[in-house]
Amino acid sequence: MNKRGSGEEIMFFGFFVILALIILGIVWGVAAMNARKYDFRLVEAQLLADHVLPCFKEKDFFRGEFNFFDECKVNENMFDSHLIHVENVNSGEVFFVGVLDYINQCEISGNNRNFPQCVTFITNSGGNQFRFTAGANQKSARGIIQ
Amino acid sequence: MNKKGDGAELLRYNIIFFALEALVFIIMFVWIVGFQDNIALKEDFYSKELTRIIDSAVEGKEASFLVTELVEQADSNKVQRSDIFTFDNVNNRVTVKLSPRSGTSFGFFKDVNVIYLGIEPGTEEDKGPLTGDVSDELFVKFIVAESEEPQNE
Repeated sequence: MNKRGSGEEIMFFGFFVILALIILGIVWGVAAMNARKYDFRLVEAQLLADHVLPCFKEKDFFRGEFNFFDECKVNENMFDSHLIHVENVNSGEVFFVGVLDYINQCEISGNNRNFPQCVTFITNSGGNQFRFTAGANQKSARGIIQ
Repeated sequence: MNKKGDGAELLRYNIIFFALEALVFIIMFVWIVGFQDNIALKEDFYSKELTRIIDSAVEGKEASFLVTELVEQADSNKVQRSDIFTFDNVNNRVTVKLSPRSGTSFGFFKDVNVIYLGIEPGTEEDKGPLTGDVSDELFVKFIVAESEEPQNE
């Protein structure tokens, strides 16, 4: 019977358990301290609102053939992580481009970094009152670049 | 009892232990050193701040942003100055690169063409709220122009 051999095998397993615990601790600690990103969502939502609002005041968003991206000089490709939502308070008519669900997500986002941030305000145009919302949830992309 | 065999087995286990230990600690060391200079955070910050300038800029005017610290770090990481900033007018993205093999990019929503002018020493026009001499500082300079045909810089 090789008692010494059996003991070595048990030590091998224990070694990996201890090593895994140490590594997890270090990874968690370093990531917690360093992996945070610069939160730009609210700033971006405000910039978007500042850019689109003059366009909204000038043009009729509710016109059937209105092309938001051409007429307001906004890049269409960015709107898988942004939202512009304009609701006529009087008639309930709605215009939106982007991810409509951001309206709901912004209500519950709080400090959750996975949810978007929105700016919402009431504005007047052509004798009507509108609830104007701009939302942003763009994430920066880090990757290998040669 | 095979004493010779036991010794060889023990040695084999110890060699494997040592090799694995060394491997794990080398990987950990490289990973932690990556965080040491906050490269990921700095790339993230500068790409977003440049996006802020582009999205709020008056079209046709030259814009500049203080990047001395960033450029010094890129120099020490052996990144060519011409590679630090990339403005992609097709995909509307700003990319900041602080290490030779990776970078961080962020998109601007405005439909504009960004014409990259380069990294240049500061002038009186770049001073803004800064006090003192800015000629020793480095600024990234670009023009946010009206979009016509998309072009890559």
